[in-house]
Amino acid sequence: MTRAADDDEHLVARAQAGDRDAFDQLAERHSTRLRRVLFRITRDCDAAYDAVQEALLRAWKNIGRFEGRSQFSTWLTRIAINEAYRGLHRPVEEPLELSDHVGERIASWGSRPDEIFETREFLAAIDRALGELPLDYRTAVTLRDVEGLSTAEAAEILGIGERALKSRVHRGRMALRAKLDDYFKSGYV
Amino acid sequence: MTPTLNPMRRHREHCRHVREQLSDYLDGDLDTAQADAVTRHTRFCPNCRRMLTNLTRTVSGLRALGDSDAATGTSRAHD
Repeated sequence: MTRAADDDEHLVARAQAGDRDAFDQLAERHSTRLRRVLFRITRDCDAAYDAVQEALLRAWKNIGRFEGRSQFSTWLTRIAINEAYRGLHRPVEEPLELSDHVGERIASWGSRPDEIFETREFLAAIDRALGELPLDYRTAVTLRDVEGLSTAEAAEILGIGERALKSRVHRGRMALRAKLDDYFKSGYV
Repeated sequence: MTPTLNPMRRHREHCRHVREQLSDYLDGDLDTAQADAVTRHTRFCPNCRRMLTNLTRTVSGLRALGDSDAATGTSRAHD
């Protein structure tokens, strides 16, 4: 277990005993990441903010039902994504029950000002294309590639099998690649 | 007698099969024999090689997007 997960475990135990300060520490630790994930999914700052607040409230109310079968961050992210989907008026898939050897990294893309500009422009193009993906694909790609979660973690958060998660990630990546085709042809990247 | 598949059609079938495996290939989720088959095919098929290159750039870009968010602490949502 990672140090962060270990720390979470202690804070969760205190929160389950009614310690609000412990829960506030958990909320502070995870809320920035959650807002980032939800913004990528909803593409709306206010919706992301509201969904995180709702998720934290729901998590606090249900902390007693968290059994530790998954990591706290996984459980909380699942609640938050369900809240975001609810805000988008989309039925959730499942009611809330309460390699990295890929290519070149950004640092290797160059350090000249024009290269940095082109890289930023490319990232902006990717971000725009991500926002145009169907919600299922966008969520899967955000968790797996942008947030860097493992297939198992992302599948657990979404309450789907690993095979289904991989399929969504692959379809999402291929759709993004097609959307970025002009960019690739331009020779920018 | 079993009809022989037209070589072009056989090539396209192979391309389709390889393209379905590209994400698993990038993620290191194929076994050695499957990964070797993808490597071999993309070495000789320019269209699949271009697709693999661009998919690699796409995934690298997505990861860079996450890295840049994490580095700046950006959430763009009421931070």
